[in-house]
Amino acid sequence: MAWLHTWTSLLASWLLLLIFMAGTASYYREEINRWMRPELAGITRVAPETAATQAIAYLQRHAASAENWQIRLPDSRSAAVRLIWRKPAAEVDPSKGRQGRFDEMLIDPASGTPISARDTRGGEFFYRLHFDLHYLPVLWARYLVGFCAMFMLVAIISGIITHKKIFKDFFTFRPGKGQRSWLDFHNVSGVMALPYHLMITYTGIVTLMLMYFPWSVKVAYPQDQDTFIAEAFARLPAPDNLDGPPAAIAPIATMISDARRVWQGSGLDRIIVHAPGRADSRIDIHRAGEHAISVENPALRYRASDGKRLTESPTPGGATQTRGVLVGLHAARFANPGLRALFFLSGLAGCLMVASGSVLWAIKERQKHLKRAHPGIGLRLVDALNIGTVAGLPIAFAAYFWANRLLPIGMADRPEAEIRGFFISWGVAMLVALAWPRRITWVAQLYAGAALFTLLPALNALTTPHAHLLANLQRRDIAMAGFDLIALLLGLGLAIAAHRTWRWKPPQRPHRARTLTPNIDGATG
Amino acid sequence: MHPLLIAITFSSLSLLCLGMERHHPCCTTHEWAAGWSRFSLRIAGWLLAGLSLALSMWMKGPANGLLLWLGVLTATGLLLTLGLLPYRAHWIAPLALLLPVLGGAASLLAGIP
Repeated sequence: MAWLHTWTSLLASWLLLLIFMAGTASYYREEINRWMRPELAGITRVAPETAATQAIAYLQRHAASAENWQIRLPDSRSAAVRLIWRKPAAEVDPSKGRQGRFDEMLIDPASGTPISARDTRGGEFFYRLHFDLHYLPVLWARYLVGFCAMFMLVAIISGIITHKKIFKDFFTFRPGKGQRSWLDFHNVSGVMALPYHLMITYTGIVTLMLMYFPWSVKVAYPQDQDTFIAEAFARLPAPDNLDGPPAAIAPIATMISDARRVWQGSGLDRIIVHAPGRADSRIDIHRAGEHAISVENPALRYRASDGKRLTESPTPGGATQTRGVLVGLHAARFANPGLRALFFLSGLAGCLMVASGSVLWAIKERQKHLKRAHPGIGLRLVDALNIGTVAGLPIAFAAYFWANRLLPIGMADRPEAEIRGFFISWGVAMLVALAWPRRITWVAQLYAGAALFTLLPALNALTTPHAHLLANLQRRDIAMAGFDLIALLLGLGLAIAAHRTWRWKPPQRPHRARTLTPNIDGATG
Repeated sequence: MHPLLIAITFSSLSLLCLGMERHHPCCTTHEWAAGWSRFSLRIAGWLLAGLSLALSMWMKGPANGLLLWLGVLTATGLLLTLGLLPYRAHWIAPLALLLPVLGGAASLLAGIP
């Protein structure tokens, strides 16, 4: 069983670390969105009726010909209204792929004026990176991520079975003892967050479940995947062939108050307007999840021209609810700030478990190579990949944030330039690691990551003078201040790791003494 | 956050930890803990674990309560294992007594359970 654990984890570990880190960052997707758009400060909160009315007025002026509008209403984590609309086929730029079909805009919910925030993908980049891996074709990336998640599940279960002293060593971490310390640390980061690791891996596989066996869906729904999705997830089916002569939209506030009456005052998540401006236009109002774990929330459909309620989303069955809760557990959109922080901490424990596991493999393997003059090519490769991901990825994450503050505001394709900042710095870190897979490279890259993260609050203060850490704390802008503080803590953690790697001395092996005195450690375990 | 929940969960893990053969020697520096047998430390630890789970579920409902409790268990377990045991083991026994008192007071002051 030990070989199964070793090989499933090692082969997937580097990609898994990227997936784990991007996923952990995605818990704070909205807060990262906010930090990367410092212009959003000081948006006043208004009732959803006002926000929706302003949104529709804006869209009627600027996106009248769109096929549909999506209005993401403000919630406790984001104060602006996000508008996304699907452009008519004639206006689509085919070279931009899926994103080219949509346009989006942030507006102030009180005044309805666009907010001129800098152009950035913000936290959405990490969210997409988590399962789309950015440069790969979406389908293949998701197969690859699903495959890694299955390896992870095998690794966790075989890891539990291999860990014979799971109870005896439950609280055991013995620092400063070389390989044993690494094994202890790997065990502790795995065992202490074990419920989380099992949950996140299993539910992660569930989020992509429709991709593993696509053929049964294709047989049952030969033409129309959308109908399958609507029926399987108890959603409202997309209305077909909406047209008719131009028509006005009835007051959205009336529809919202009707929806609130049906749901007994619950909050709203988003509003979708199909075929806006046509007589057949339909408006879907989606309920907010509030504290429900499931990602699937009910929706009501209205006729846009007179505001009459037509239909509602079907009552979900057992399987639909189960999937909704499993995916909801994975995405943790329901979590309040306290629980979100605990998910984030458990995610960090997961990153450390993956990282310490692949470092442990290299340490164990090195023992076998000690007698030879040159370490083998396999060990050299693993060392390089370990440095390039464990120490290199933090540099890439920090570089993405640095690019957000340093690139000129008006430059063309700014979001993509920030993302190139991520991949170029990661690529450089990886190349350096491949060229010199030694301890000094570990130290240099860990220190580089530490410096980049620790200096982020300073960079933020210099480039956005109105939104430095102290001002944000005074203003109780938790998202902005929290980002700076977490960056500082991550930087300090990396600095400690760098310092300890720098100070590390290979153990002197007193061979004679060892044979004379009984091995105490060996006697107890 | 919920100071009392965090404190009781911490105490529960601390007692379970002190009740283990390997970590029981940490008790000797503190009278109250040294007077307890490993068996009674473990029983007290399990009782507090049950109590903290019940408290969490009472505050947040069964589903969210279970999630919160598991999260707090992970956080306090990491603090205990990576922070206190290897570096400040003699703090564990007094903290296990003191934190629930402080946590209870903080919760009362903040007006939350």
